[in-house]
Amino acid sequence: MKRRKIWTNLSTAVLIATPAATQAAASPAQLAFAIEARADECLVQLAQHQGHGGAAMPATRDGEGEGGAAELPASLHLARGIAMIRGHLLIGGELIEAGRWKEALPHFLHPEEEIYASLRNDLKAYGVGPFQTTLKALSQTVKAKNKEAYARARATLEERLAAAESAVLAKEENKPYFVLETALETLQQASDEYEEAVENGRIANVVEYQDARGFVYEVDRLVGAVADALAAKDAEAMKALRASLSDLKATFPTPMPPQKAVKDAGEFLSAVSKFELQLGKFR
Amino acid sequence: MPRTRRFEPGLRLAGLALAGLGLAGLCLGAFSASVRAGSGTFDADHWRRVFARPEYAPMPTGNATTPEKVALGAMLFEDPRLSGDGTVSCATCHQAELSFTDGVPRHEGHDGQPLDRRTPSLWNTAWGLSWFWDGRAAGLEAQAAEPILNKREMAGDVRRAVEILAADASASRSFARAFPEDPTVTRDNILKALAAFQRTLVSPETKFDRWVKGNDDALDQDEMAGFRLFVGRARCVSCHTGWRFTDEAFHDIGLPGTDPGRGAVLGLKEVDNAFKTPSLRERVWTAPYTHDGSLTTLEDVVDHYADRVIERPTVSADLPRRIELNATERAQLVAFLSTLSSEDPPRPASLPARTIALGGDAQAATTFVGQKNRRFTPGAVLLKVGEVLRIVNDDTRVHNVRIDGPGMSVNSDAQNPGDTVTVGFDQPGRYDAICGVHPEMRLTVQVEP
Ligand code: HEC
Ligand code: HEC
Repeated sequence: MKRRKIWTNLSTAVLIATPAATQAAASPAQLAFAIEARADECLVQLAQHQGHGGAAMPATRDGEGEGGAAELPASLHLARGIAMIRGHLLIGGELIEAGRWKEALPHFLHPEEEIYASLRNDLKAYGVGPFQTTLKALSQTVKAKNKEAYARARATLEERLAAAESAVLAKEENKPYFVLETALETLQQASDEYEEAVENGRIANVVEYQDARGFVYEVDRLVGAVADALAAKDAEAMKALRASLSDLKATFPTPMPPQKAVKDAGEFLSAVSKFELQLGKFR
Repeated sequence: MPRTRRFEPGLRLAGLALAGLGLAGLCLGAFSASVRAGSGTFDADHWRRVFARPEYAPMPTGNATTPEKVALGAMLFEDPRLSGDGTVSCATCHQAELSFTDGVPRHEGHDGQPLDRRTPSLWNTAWGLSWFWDGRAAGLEAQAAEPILNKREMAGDVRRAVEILAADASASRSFARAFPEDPTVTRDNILKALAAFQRTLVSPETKFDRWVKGNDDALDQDEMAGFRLFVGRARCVSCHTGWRFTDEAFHDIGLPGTDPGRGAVLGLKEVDNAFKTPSLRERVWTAPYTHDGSLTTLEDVVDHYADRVIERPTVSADLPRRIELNATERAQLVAFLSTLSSEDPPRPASLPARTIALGGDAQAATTFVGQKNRRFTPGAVLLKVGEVLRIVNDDTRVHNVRIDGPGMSVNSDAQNPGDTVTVGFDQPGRYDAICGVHPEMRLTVQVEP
């Protein structure tokens, strides 16, 4: 079930077989294996999407947001990064509202530790000012469990994210479609997180479950924001999009996971692919 | 880590020398700024001297900075018993995690209304020449009494606080250790201990200090351009000078508002609206800015200087009336200001590391696991039921320890570098611990009957 585990094992195997091989030299073989491994799990359809299924995970997982990053155009990469950061803020904010500061903290540290570095060049390319310290200034308020300071620091960060988002969108001709592409990319990340979270029908890793919830709800918000334009283009397809999003959201009834996982990783992925199937209709 | 001198005549000299240096810095700063306006040259050696960090923290005669006193002061700083209703401590407003500020424009006072002014950061207050935004306190010792007594801050009664602390055996012992020559709980000793602790709050070296020490590559192109603007055309250095970036003087920088500031202290209309130049160290972590907290970001501050200075007779003669700064230059100034801050929220070395106990007797821990370089080391441990595991953050970043069942669910608070988490196991089985901040960090704990 665990793609990452397969991947890691494979790379070790390759390295053992040819001790001198660098990761780069070994990667074509790994790629083929990885795609096969995914094919076994009925992931062919997703793997075809922009070809980033196969290379989704480097041998060492150097944080989320790096998966397939190299192949994404800068616009999509940046937009996905912003969506992921917002997804983290979303779940983190829910946990704070519930008084769970300790649980919330990782979601405020992740954007800076795992996502921001990969966005640095994109931000420069789009002429958007850096906001790394804004992220850190926000997480320090969560560490301090100081709600007023948190609210202020969060508002400052939201402004930065909104500015970055408009800079990206300004250059897109078909904005609603671009938003859908961003949504799909973010859902792929959600399924990676979810896959890490479930184990034998239970949520073994609460943080990854929460990441996935944050991403899915952020996607729901993104799509909601362009819903009118999408419905004008194809009302039926829009309905189908909404249905797949409801199905995905139902995976996460509460910020803290339920006793029993609602979906297994395969079911989650197939819900994502239902979303993907509609995309072509909005091009 | 501040180095403090222990013998007093030397210290006095150091203090005098420092004050002298501050003044010299001021004059030099103003001088070079005016020279450069015409020439456009940049004298790196000169600026390296102006911004060099001092070797010693000053300390007054009569209140030596001893470890025992600092420890007591750190405790009192967080002790709500100094307040009238036992709910407010210094740390309520000066939160260590927020660089000793509170993240809001003006903290809510006892009466539910915002206080008159913003809570200032307490980094490097040892070097101050006067305290508070309007400079009304002449020493850190004298200063500490004010918030305790202030009806809107702690609304305390020092006599009652002395009684309460004297009745607490452990607190009395701490006072005795801190003041061997006068081993009692007194008002003076409370204030001295608080001041001694605050003198240890020295902001760490930053990127900019590496440049000052001679590393020409420490600042990138934008940061360097910002620095040149800071000491050049934008003339920030006429007030923000010396290693702390303050002239310790009072200026009106043309903010809206009616608080007379220094004017009221001196009874001089000419200095109405003037406030003490704040240090610019660690400001990335202390938003919002200025005495009324009205500027929300560093970008906002720079925009103020460029576009929004209010014209009135009290505006400081050192303040350029109009600075032409385009968007790039403004961003460069902000980039430079950021090099005066640590790359992560700094934590003073004088605050003790925490131990977070999750079941079991923390003292009884026998097995140790480290967290260096985002890795639990060792990655798997074998324990017997009832044994206690100690996980020490020997890394440079914040970690956390959590186990999400089956059979056991624990989640530690944020674990700063140096902090320890202890976990007790009373049931046999296999437990998978992760760091919630870096979920790829895994630790397997096998507990045998
Ligand atoms: C209710 C919030 C609050 C509490 C509690 C509080 N402070 Fe403050 N502190 C402030 C504010 C606001 C100022 C600025 C006041 C002014 O300048 O008029 C300040 C100023 C200071 C300054 C001056 C710093 C400088 O650079 O000029 C020091 C030092 C200080 N406080 C230490 C303490 C100590 C020690 C305690 C506990 C005994 C304490 N504070 C309790 C809000 C608070
Ligand atoms: C005339 C002296 C003077 C000059 C010139 C000056 N400042 Fe200031 N600065 C001050 C004073 C005084 C304050 C506090 C004002 C207040 O709170 O009312 C301040 C506040 C600030 C703050 C907020 C700090 C905090 O903790 O609240 C920043 C940041 C800052 N200045 C940066 C700059 C920069 C950048 C420049 C150059 C563009 C500059 N200053 C020029 C005197 C000056």
